[in-house]
Amino acid sequence: MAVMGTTWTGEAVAQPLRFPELLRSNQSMVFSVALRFLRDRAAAEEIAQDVFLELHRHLHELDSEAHVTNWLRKVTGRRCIDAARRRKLRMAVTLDDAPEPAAAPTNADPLRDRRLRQLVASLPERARMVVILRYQEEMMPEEIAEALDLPVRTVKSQLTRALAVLRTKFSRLSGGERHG
Amino acid sequence: MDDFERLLEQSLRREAAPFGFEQRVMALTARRRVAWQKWTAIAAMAVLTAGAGWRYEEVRRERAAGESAKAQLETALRITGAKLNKVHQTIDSMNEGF
Repeated sequence: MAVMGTTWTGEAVAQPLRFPELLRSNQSMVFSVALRFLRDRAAAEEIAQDVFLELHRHLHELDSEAHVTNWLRKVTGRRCIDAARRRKLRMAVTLDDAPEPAAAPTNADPLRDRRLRQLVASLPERARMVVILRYQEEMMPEEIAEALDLPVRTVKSQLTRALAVLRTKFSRLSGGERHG
Repeated sequence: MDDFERLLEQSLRREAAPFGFEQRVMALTARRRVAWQKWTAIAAMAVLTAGAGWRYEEVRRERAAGESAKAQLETALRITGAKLNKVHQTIDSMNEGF
């Protein structure tokens, strides 16, 4: 449970990982993954708390900040998928649920962002987590595969399929906006 | 990455954790540490009590065995004394005859 630091002479020394700093630097990541996945702030906060409590218990098994970040992504991903399955929290977000747009899409468009998040939330659990880890956490398919214990081939195909679905639904929506 | 993927990335950008989240997690870890210490103390007390009880029982058993051995010895000595008395009496009565 140590990261490398340097002394004033430039000598590399091991420094212990400190839980408060790890919590501070990763809280937004963990909370956001859970929030984008569950679309429920209270449930996302609960998952994030549980993940950090688990980190507190397992900190001695982790040896670097990068290791901790990967561990957090992995545990958050699995817990979110489990929670969604257990509580049947899969949001049945359909295109009909999406609010009518107030304006055409521009560069910064909260409504468009919200709609895209709703479309992501309508994906099956695993595909949803793959998309979130790819586009929120900018993880490579290999990293996602490791985090979710899936073959890389599966991650790539889920990503391709999910993107195709999202594109189709989004363009249908955007087309509807233009013509409706 | 094409335009749609960039839009997706933008819509899924990270959001700050709720206000006070860090403090709540730290409080929970502190509470858990206190609970762990409490249970450790309880477990240590239980082990000590069991150890003391076992030792007490061992001493009691040893003492009881000692008492029993002492009683047996006393009985044996009493019987032996009685036998010796009888022998003495027999010898005395035989001596009186001469």
